Amino acid sequence: MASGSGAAAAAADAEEKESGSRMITLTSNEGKAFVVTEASARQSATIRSMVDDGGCVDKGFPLPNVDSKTLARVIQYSDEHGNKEPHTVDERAALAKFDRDFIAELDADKAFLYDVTMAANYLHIQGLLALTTQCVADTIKGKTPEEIRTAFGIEYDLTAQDEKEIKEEDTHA
Amino acid sequence: MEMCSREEIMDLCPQNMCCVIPQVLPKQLCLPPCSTKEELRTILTETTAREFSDLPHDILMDIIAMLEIPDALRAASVCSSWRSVHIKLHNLGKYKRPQTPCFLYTSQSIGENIACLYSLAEKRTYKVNSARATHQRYLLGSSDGWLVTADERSEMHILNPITGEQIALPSVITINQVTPIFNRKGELCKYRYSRHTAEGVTESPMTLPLDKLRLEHDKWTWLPPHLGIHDCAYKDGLLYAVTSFGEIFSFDLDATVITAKVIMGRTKEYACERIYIVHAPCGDLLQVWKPQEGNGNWVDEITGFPALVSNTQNTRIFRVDTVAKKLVQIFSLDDHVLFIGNNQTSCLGVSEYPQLKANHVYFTDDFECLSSKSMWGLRLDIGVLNLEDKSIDEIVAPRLFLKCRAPVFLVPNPSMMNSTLHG
Repeated sequence: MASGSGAAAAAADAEEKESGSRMITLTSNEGKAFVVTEASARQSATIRSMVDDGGCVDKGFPLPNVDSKTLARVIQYSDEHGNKEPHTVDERAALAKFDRDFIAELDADKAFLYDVTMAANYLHIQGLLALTTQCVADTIKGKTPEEIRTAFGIEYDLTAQDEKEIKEEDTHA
Repeated sequence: MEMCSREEIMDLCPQNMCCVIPQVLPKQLCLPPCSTKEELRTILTETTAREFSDLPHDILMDIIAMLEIPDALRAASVCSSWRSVHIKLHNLGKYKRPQTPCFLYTSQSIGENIACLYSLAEKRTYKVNSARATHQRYLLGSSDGWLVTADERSEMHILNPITGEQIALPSVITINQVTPIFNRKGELCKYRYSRHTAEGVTESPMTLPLDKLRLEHDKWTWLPPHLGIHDCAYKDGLLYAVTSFGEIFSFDLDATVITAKVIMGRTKEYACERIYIVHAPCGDLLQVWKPQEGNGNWVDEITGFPALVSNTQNTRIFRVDTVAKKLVQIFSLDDHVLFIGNNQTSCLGVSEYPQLKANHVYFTDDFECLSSKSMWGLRLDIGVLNLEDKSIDEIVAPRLFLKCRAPVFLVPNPSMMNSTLHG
């Protein structure tokens, strides 16, 4: 029994290795193709589950909701996190630094931050989504509603009823 | 929001393109089902609008759940979409973030019905309007974001100053040891309060040590009697209580008959300090001894008001070795902080609460006499003790505490009790 399951695990391992070396094509909504390693593509839970279901690897994956600029940036993240597994303290620190620099650039361009957030959500890249949502939360911190609107370019659309309720809440906290 | 025409949706969704993601996504990832057309439409409009007000609600909810309460409330006033998400989050009680403790105080100079909530995370004060109770009642303590109050008849309420929710606790007369005494007009004038042996009558108002009581459905249950309980902590179904002599007892609240188990016997000869008990995040049980304030004729140099002599810098902290049944003094909390006072004593790690100062003790005045109005105007002993050099800093400018009722630390809790119970 034990040897049987061991053999199965070894076979699964071999398959994993083989599949890890495959290349996968992702196509943006502008029709631009990006060829990435499977390890990088597997950062996306969406693509991972489709690959594991045995479909579509050869045909590639059209992504009708992601433009080329956004996809390129998302792949930059997936490559960094998917292609190398950090083992040492230094490698982990390097990855953390990559994340910091990555998000700092997005933080400076809120429209792009929005696109990458939406793409991370659409492709289910958990780490990237956590990074971008944390960035949004950090931007909100300590700001007045007006400052938050300015930071994200949000239009004021509250109704008189909303305003009345907000006023009542304000007296609570 | 602009509607997409059916044709546009069909264009993006050719029947034979097996890999277009929105169609397969919900099933494979066990996501909540939603109409493909609906989803596509949402995604399309959002991608074209590129507006943060249009972020999908589940993402927005995750973001708002990461915020401290004041930030979350301000985010709720940004736009209608964020507002509806906050309301949803509030109703579901799904705040994830550990909230940094705030400091709640009332003051005559601010107004009758207002309490102030000073956020230690933001170093900003918020006014709370639901606090009439905190002016008219005795503030006994706080736990999980709830204030525990007693009125002039010793009846207790718990009150959440963030939500305004208030719940009456069972009447004190449900305690077997308490008998109401009425005057000739039939008005309640005092209670008879009998301990297990001796009998005594106290003038009303009277507050009972909450530590001794157990809330069970509609009445109070008397825990096996021990005198001089100073503080208690609750962990894994057990209630730990510490007496003024440092004895520690545990009570299994799930047992049919509650008995006290001795965790550790007396550790001090004299009951001259205020004792606190708390579990550190690593699981260690800590005992904290804070010297009582003296009644010296000391005048506060800043305010010119009389003040109690404070010896808080001599606060000592011990780790309870429950095997060897002894206390081991510790001189540093490393990356932890302590909150002591009338609040539920807590020990937090700064990694989760980056705005707090590591190796510091945040303390508020819990001198028993302070609940009496005659003591108003005294400068209270409130501050942050640095365990490294024994220096004490103010939390907020001292003037704020003039004529103020004994303040407490409070961890803001935006959840309604109902959603907590059912969620």
